[in-house]
Amino acid sequence: MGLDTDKLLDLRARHSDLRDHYLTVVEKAREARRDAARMHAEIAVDPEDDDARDLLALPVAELANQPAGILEKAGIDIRLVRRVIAAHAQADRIRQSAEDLAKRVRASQALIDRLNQYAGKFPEAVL
Amino acid sequence: MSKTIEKIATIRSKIDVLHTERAALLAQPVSRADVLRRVDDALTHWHTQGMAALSIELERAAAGGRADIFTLRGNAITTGQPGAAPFALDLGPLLVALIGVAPLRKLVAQAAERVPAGVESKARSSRLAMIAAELDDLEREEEQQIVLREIDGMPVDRRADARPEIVLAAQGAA
Repeated sequence: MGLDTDKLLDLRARHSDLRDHYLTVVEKAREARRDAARMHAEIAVDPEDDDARDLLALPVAELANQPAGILEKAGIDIRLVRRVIAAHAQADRIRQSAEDLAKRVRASQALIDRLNQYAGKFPEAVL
Repeated sequence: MSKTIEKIATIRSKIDVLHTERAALLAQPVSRADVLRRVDDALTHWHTQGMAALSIELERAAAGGRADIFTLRGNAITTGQPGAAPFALDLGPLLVALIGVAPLRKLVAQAAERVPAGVESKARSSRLAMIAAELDDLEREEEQQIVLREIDGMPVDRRADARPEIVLAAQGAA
């Protein structure tokens, strides 16, 4: 039984591309998280207003559940809060993509390792 | 979902079923029936030994000696730490001679109900060979479908446990 060396090289290249894509998405996830955190931090409120500061200190999921009236009373621009919530949601979506890719990369790595080990038995496959 | 994707999913589902069946067959190489046959052989052997030992003791008694019919003789295998000497005694011949094969066989058969039935060895070997052949066909078909998708520019991830000899088979050799 012979070895399709071209196919092995092609599969290695695909794995490498997948891994590079994963690393790119991981970096995008980090950037998105940083951007969302920065937007959150940039919402301006009166530093003497404890209620406003307490509201802004809430986790994003709880902040999203606050009634608009409560936010307005605390002097918080609800449009900015909506943008922060959207930015966090976007960061979550990218993070989920990264996690999905991580699973694919692990599976791909496991397969490539086995293919390489198998190819090692063929002395003519000097790769 | 495209037809090829559906086809690949169906093939993979069949592969999973065969893997599960093969794992179960490999996990239990001896069927319950085979285990009971081995027990039957041992009981018969012990019965012969036990009755012979009893006869010897009774003949000794008839010659005016003692009848140590409940004394176990043989070699004790000692194991364990210094200061302790746990050992194993082979009670088989004496027990079977005194109690009889049938009652002991009945007890063992009742306990054996907890052992899965399993598959007897000839049928098991035959089934394992059939599973191997079916897996070869399915995995080759799966690889062909994947290659077609790749040619169409719509790649599908291979299974992490795909066999290298199938994936990397030289053209015309698969």
